[in-house]
Amino acid sequence: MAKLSSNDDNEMEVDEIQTKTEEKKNNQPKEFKNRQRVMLLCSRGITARHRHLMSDLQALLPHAKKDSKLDSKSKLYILNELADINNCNNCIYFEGRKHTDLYMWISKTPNGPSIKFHVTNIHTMSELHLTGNCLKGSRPIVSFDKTFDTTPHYKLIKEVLLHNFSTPTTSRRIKPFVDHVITFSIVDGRIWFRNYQIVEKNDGTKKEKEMSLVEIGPRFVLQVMRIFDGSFCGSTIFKNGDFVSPNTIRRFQKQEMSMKYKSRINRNLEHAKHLQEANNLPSDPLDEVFQ
Amino acid sequence: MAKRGKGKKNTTQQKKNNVEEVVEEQVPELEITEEKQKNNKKSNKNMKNSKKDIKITEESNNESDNDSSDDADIDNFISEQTINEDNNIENEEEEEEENEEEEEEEEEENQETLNELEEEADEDNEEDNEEDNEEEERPAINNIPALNKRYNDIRLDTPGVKIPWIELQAITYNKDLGVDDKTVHDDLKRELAFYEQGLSAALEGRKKYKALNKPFSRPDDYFAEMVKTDEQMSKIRQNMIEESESIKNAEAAKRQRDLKKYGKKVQTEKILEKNRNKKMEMEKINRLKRKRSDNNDDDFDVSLDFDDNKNKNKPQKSKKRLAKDKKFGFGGRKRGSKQNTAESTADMSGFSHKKMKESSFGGNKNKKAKRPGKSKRMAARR
Repeated sequence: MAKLSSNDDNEMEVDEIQTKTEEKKNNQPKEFKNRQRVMLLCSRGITARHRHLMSDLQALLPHAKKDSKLDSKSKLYILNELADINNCNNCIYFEGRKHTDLYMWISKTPNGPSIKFHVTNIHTMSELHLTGNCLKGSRPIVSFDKTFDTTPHYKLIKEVLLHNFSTPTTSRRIKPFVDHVITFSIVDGRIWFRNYQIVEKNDGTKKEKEMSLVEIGPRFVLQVMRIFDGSFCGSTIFKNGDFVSPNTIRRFQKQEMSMKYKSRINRNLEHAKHLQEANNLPSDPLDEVFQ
Repeated sequence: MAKRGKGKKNTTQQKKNNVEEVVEEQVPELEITEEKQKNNKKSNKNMKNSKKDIKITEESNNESDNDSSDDADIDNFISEQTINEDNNIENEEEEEEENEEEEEEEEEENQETLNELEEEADEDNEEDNEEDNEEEERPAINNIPALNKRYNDIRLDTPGVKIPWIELQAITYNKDLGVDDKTVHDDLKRELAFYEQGLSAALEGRKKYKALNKPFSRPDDYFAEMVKTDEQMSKIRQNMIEESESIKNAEAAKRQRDLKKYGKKVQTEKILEKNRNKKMEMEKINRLKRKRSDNNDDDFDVSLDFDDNKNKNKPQKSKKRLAKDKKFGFGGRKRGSKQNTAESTADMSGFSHKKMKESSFGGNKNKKAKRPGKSKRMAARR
């Protein structure tokens, strides 16, 4: 309880600071600076592929701070404190379950909101068929599909993604020039992430260089599960009705398998019954011949 | 099971024995056999069987009573047969019973396994079951006011603040992606849509950078740490080379295969033509042979044919050779060909008196007169 109270105090302080900064912003609108720092970490029990995905994101986000694996899966509010310790106001947390499923939490610490995604179709940067490359620390252009502006929850998601993926100009490890584009597109109710290198070739004939893209990676697809009011806590303000948890999918698959088995057993029983009926010979008329 | 089988055998033997005894000793012993069989009773099934047997024996006995004693053997035989049949039926019944028992056991096993499976599944899902149940129970939530509130809380572009584009570098793609639920799984189409989104964003970004007069593209001589290491890139390059090579090799192999196929076709055609020619020649020869056998007396024809054959087989002589052959002779015996023979000495065909006189060894006696000189010819003219 004591800890919690201290937490609250901290939050209060942070709030005060924020309000102060906001006031400053309001007073001097020209000096807007995008100050975002992202804490990047994962839970225990994620697979190598998931870990690679995380390291790829770290390479892409020069304003990210990687933290060590989080032991507990139930007490996620610890992350707020951790983010505070790391001076971060965003947190991307990868939660691995059953060594198969990956969930991605993106949160605006310490006050929220936080969004929980299910991550599928993961291809990391180290896969060999993605041939692009870019400077480590160059600021990307972040492109959003126009679907992001249609509904309130997508708007919110867009804002949070923007905070996390657009590199602030003040970040220490950034390099000049723009040589890659990050795209977020909504297709099939999911958010598809792509990262392309910008390749410019000089024809000599035209004034502007001809531009083409080469994919760098990683690739992944996010499906929104829930949006929470707070950061890793609070009430649910959005829940995706279309989301089917991988557990239920697996359960259905298992059920289907068991149905197969049950139907086979039933068939065998029926076959046995049929045999029994077939073998029930009618009374032999010869029995009564010698009465 | 084995025990049962043995028991069956024993009982059948006993039955047979009993029946035989009954037939021989006839009516009075029936009671004794009944007693014996009662002693032999072990189970309800046997009871039934024995009762049946008794019935049969009774029947047979009655019949034997009615008929003469000669028919006893036949009756015996028939009764045995019927008993065997009964036994068969019993066996089948027993088998069915066994089957049923087995099935019951199987069912029990199945139920057990199912239960186990379910338990396992439960264990697997223990972790997330509660969550799932919650999710199943609760409908989708879309608390729009709360969402809007949170959005307004965190948004950077609050009404009073003007954010320069370069701070965020965010671009919204205004076109429709053109990928719906059906075409999501068409990889090429989907990726192309994403690519176009990215490209339009990049183009717009470059425009904005140009407008701000800031460097956009990385110069070629700017070297810095990349996202992918050189090692990784070299691996990728190698992979690409290998891929292209494998494609090339596959194509070459395919071409070779096609060529081989074509070559084989040509070869077979050649062989076929050869065979055809051979056949034709053989036919010709056969025809000639037939001709020869038909017109055996006509020498002229045959010789002509032979000539034809010879000419065809031998290489043709040149005109020069032919002329020389005509002049000097060709073939035949060389030795003594220039020697005189009796005939050649007696041959006077080449001799003429005129020639003899004209060209005698004496000189110009009969030499033709020379043309006179010009003066003489002129004088003669006048």
